[in-house]
Parts: sequence; structure tokens; C-alpha cells
Amino acid sequence: MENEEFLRLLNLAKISEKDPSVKTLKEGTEKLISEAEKISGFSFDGGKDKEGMCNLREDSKAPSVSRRDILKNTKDSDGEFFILPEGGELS
Amino acid sequence: MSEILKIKAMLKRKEISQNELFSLYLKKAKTENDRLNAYITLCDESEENKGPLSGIPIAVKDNISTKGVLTTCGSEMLSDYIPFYSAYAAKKLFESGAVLLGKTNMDEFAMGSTGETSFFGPCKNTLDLSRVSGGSSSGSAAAVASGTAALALGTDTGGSVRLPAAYCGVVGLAPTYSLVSRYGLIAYASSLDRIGIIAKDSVDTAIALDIISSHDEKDATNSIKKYDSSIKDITSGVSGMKIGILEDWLKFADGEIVQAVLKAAHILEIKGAKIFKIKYGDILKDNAAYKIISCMEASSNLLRYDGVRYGKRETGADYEEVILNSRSSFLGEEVKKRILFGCFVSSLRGEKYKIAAENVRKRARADFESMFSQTDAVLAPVVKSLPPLLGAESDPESDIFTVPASLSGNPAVSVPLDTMIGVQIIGRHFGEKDILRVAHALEEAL
Repeated sequence: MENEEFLRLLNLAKISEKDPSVKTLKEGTEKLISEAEKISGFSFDGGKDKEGMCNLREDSKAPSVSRRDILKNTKDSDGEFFILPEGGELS
Repeated sequence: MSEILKIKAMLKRKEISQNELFSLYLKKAKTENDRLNAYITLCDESEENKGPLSGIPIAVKDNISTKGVLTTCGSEMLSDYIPFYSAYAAKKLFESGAVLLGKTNMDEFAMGSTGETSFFGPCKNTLDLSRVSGGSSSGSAAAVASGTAALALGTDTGGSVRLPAAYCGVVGLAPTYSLVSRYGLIAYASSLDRIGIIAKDSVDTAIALDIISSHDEKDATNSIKKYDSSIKDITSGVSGMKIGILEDWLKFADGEIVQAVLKAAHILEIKGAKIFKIKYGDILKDNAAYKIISCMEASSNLLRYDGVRYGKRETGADYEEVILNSRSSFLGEEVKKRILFGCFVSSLRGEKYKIAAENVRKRARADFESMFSQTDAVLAPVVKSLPPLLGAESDPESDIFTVPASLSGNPAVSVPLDTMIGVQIIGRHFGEKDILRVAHALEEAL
């Protein structure tokens, strides 16, 4: 793996480039990628799920929930934020 | 004999009080912990609880939230984290009268199969101190095996309950995905994580499962299917049951493991079950698919441990540096490696792996579905070989026999057959009753 790509992964993973184990981490990540190669060519036409089996839904964008709707789920609020019951008990 | 029933009988006969029982277990746990390192936290106090599990001392894996008790996930990152609520499964056991003896050691964030990635040091095998106890529920298995807890909760993502149970000579059940609520479980890979049970035998396992399997509206992934009690028919035997044996898998296992599986098949046949060979797809591909899916989900689930939202905080010049430094300082190497790989798979270059892994998972589900149209249960090894020595190089294929049922979400139980060797019984979805019946039949014959 090129250093540039690994630096990008460190950034995505929120791990410091100055991490003392950065060299070992790169080697370990490369090892995991090579293990994953075992299925890179896997093709399977049986992607069709059988009846009764759990299907993964298609991702779709939905409008964000409003603050008002979110506050409907709380027992007590000041109109802008929910109020934590005394002692921090939520239920 | 069932540890729970034994304790209940002692309490009923007033041979011992609940408090005396707790003190006895605690004393033993303290002594054994010096030897095994099975517990991260031991609870010094208990309350007298009433219910079917009155006074039964239990241990809970340290990634399952317990109100007011340190819950570290085996990580330095959460080494001072105290939850303000208990996970549903733990709460159900407490409400039934069980008392918390302690929180058990585990691989950091459940990432490992030897118990050695824990920030708190490895947990040793009760049967051979030079060997690992298996992971990631290392402490839960060692606690039950050493007799310091009558029962323990663990978690199983790719085999983390079944594998240490086999190594330590106890029973380990991974229930059907979605059967037991995960409310309060600290997530590793959400599409695979399950809360499981580790116990001395199948009866104790069934008793605990009956308690923790009710529907919980706080977990959106929890099944609404009505649960059928596992304890009521557990002694019904296996006569007439159709049990498949995954002979293709045996070529990957060492001789003594193969012998154990064949011995189990022989016992079940004598007891009246019909044994026949069945086939399954390429398990090496399952293993790769498991790593891809679990690491991808972990990279997202573990983003919250940044020293700001959750976890210990390191210093830094600005907000971004605080996060980078906190994660670098307080997450272990194995965890960071899996997060990095997860980020790779989530990136554009990793897309092909992700799609292939999801297809492998669909194939695993289809294979099991087809198998269970012909069989009531499937017999397989749990592990390839005996537990490795402490400090030995890790085997990337240590989970190959447990991962298929993890990908498909089928229930599976590990039952001890020989010293540090277990056999795995896999069932159809929500078929816990059947596999525990098989497990009980095996226990009776041993």
C-alpha cells in the first residue's frame, strides 16, 4: 500500500500519524487486505434471498427529523432541549 | 449436574444463606483471579434478590453495561467508564434474583480469539495455565470453568462465546441473531453481535436463555417472534432427530478434534438420532467475508471513542489533535488495525470486497436454509486445534468453524467433549430448543 493511501486511512480512522505503532499498523492492515483477497473474485448469482430470510433494505435519503419531533420522545423538555431527570435516570 | 439447581437446592435446605454463598464465591474468585486473570472488576457487595435465580452468583463480560459498575470493554479507552444503566440481558438476570459477582476480562472491544488483546492482560486457561482461555469472552469462560461464577454472559460476533467455552471445557451458546436484546451491549459489529451464555451445562444454559429471551422494545433489532422455552423439552432425547455432519470441514481440523466430532456423532446415533453427511460452501471465503463485514462495522461503531463523546481524553493543541491523540494513546494495536482495515473496505478501493462479502453472507444463509430443510441440527468442530500457548502467533483462521453460523445468524452451541475440546451444534433460526436437546443428550453420555 502506498504511503499516501495509508495516511488517508489514518485520517479516516482518526488515528495520529505520529502514533508510535504506525509501521506495525500499516503491516497489519496490509495483511488483512491480503486475507480479504480470498474473496475479491467471488461472484454469486444467488444474491436472491429466499423467502423468510432477512433482506437488506436499499438505502434512501429521508428528510431530517425536526427538533420538535425529536422532543416528542422525551418526558420533559424546555422547548429546545430535553431535561434530564434528577439523578440521571432515564427510565 | 446443573450448578444452578445445585445452589438452589442448598439454599432451599438452608445449608447456606445467600450472603454466605456470595462471600464464598467472592473469596474463591479473588484467589482464582490471581492465577487466571478472569475478572477485571470484582463486586464486593451484593443485595439479597428474590426470583428463580435467587442468590445465584453470575459474571458478566465487560462489554455489557452494568449500572454503577465499571465496564471497560477490556480497553484503556474505557478504563474509567461507569454506565448509568444495565443492559437488558443483565437486568433480566438480576431481576430474576441473580447477583453480580464481577465483570470479566475480554479481548479489547471483543476483537480477538485468544483473550490476549485485553488492556488488562491475558486470561489464562483453567485447564492448562500455559495456554490461552480463548476469546473474546475469555474471562466469562474461565470464570465458569473455575467455579467462581455459576453462570456468565458473554458476546459472540464471530465465535467469541463458543470458542472460549470449547477451550475451557464449558457450554457456550450463541443464540439466534436478534433473539436476545442487545440494549446496553457496547457494539463491535452490529449485524453480527449477539449476547450469549456460558454455563456448566445445557440445563443452566437453557434456564438463563429462558430468562433473557423476552422481547425488548428498546432494541429495534430484537425479534418480535414469540420465544419457545428451551428448558421444557431438554430431556426429551434425540431419538428420531435428523443430525447432519459437516464432513468437509473436518479436513481443516487436527486429529483429536476430528475424533471428538466423530465420537459425538456416534453417541447421538446410539441414542437414536439419524446421522448423515451434509455439504456447505467454502468456509475460507466465509472467514474473509466475516473480517470484511466486522471490521467495516467496527470502524464506524468505534468512532465514538474519541475522548470527547466517550473515553479517556489525551491533551492536544486543538479539538482535532485531542481526538487523534486520544485514539492513538488509548486504543490498542489490534483495535486500530481493524479500524484501519474497516476504513479501507469502506473506501472506494474496498468496494469490491464489501460486495463480495455481502454475497458470501447471502450464500451462507442460503446454505444453512437448505441444510435445515433436511436436518434438525448440524454437528461440526468449534476450533481447528487445542488452545494455543500464551504469546504464540495468532492464527488468522482460528474462527473458521464458528464464523459461518455468525454470518447466517443461526444459533450454535459448543459442548465439551474432551479436555479443552468441544463440538459445535448448529440449529435452524430460533431452534435453540433443538440444539440444547442435542447438547443435553451428549452430556448424559459423557
